[in-house]
Amino acid sequence: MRRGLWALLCTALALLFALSLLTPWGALAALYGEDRGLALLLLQELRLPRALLALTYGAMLGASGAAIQGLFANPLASPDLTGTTSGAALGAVVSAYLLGFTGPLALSAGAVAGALGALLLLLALAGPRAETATLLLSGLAISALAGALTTLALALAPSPFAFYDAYDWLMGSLIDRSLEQAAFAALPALLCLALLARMGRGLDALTLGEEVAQSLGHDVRRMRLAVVTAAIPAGRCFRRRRSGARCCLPPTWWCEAHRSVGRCRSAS
Amino acid sequence: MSALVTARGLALAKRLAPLDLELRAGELACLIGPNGSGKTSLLHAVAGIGSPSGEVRIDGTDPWRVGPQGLLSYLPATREVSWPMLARDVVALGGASAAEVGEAIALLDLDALAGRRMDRLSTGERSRVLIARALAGRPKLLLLDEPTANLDPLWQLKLMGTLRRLASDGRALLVAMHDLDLAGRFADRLILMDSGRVAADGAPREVLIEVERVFGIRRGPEGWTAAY
Repeated sequence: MRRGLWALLCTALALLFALSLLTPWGALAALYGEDRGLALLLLQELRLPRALLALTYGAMLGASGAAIQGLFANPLASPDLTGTTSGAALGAVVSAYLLGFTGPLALSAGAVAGALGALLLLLALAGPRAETATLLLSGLAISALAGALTTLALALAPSPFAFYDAYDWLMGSLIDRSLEQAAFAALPALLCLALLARMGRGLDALTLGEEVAQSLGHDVRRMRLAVVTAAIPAGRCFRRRRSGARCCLPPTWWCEAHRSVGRCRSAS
Repeated sequence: MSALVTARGLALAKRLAPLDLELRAGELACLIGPNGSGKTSLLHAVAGIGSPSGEVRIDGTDPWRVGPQGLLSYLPATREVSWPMLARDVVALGGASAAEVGEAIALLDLDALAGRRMDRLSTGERSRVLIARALAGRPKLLLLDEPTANLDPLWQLKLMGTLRRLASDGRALLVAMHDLDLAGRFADRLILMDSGRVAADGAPREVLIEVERVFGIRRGPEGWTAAY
């Protein structure tokens, strides 16, 4: 029964993936037409990276959401609750607007540093026992604090269009990705997926409460820390999905940000 | 007969004073005591919940180190299930094989309920599902906290009879209960807890004499009544 369900899900996933690449059907027709080379190029350079990124981010967000829901035993829980997504946004905004580091790695590093800072603060607040309720409340507090600091950072940014740019950036999309960038984004996501998959049984056991999970040999404290840690890349995915291409492709983002204030050198 | 379960210096900070405990194969021991006397704490300590100190061996194996699978199983006093899973899936949560799950379902007469969602069962039915989850996997030691709570009188008797049979198969059972009559009738041994310590330990007839001192109740012609 369960094996059949898996097979059905995988088939549906493969079908939808292929559909996202080949629809509208003109794309499929073009592959067999005169402009086969161009169609292939469009498929490889534009559609495939975008579809792969969407798949990776979707899987990561789904897995981390399920893990966080299992951990907090609440269907409303999400990776945001740990504060790492807000921390990632704060890190990226500070890196771009206050420190002026807008390179692709610098933005990613800023987001990771922000998420990591939020995580460390969360662990410090939750203490060595890291109880679920304390984690939840601490995460909410950090999330609110990071959100407020992000607003403050944008208000203090030298650019008068920082708010507009940032929210435009935060809306984001998956366009203009390369296969290399898709692979770069997929690596931490896949590592976290593997980590979360390993904890599946423990998270299932938490259905019956922490005592039962412990009695079944699961180290609940370690599990909490691992799930919250795995939310860092989820936070990055979340922000990157919303921040989209411009986070991964700073020249474009940089150009667009500056075009609005008439300083983009390559705008013409 | 040598002990199946031995615990040495078993303690939980602020909850359970260090104690030694032995359980033989085939023994059904009931933990009794007032609220807050340490019954659940003792079950937690044996199961390795809450960072206990001391050591526990089940058939010579350390369950805290090698993992509890096949050695011990614990039923908490709460009957909460976070997600609306099917009863059958809940019974399988401990990692028991399909055959063991089927056996536990049959033992608790759950065949008609196995395909139903947990949130659509009564509290008593949910209790039976969770008891089946604890029994699945054929552990050598069963730690049950208030297994008869929420069950109707018939099922209380049926369950105690089932536990009695499981003990006869060579397992050891440590069961926390408040029903002194059921405990006295079905247990081989009563362990009376008071303030995180063992106040009395022995055959039911001997231990029930201590109940008046610890609980403040006495058995009269109308059953148990307050002593003071």
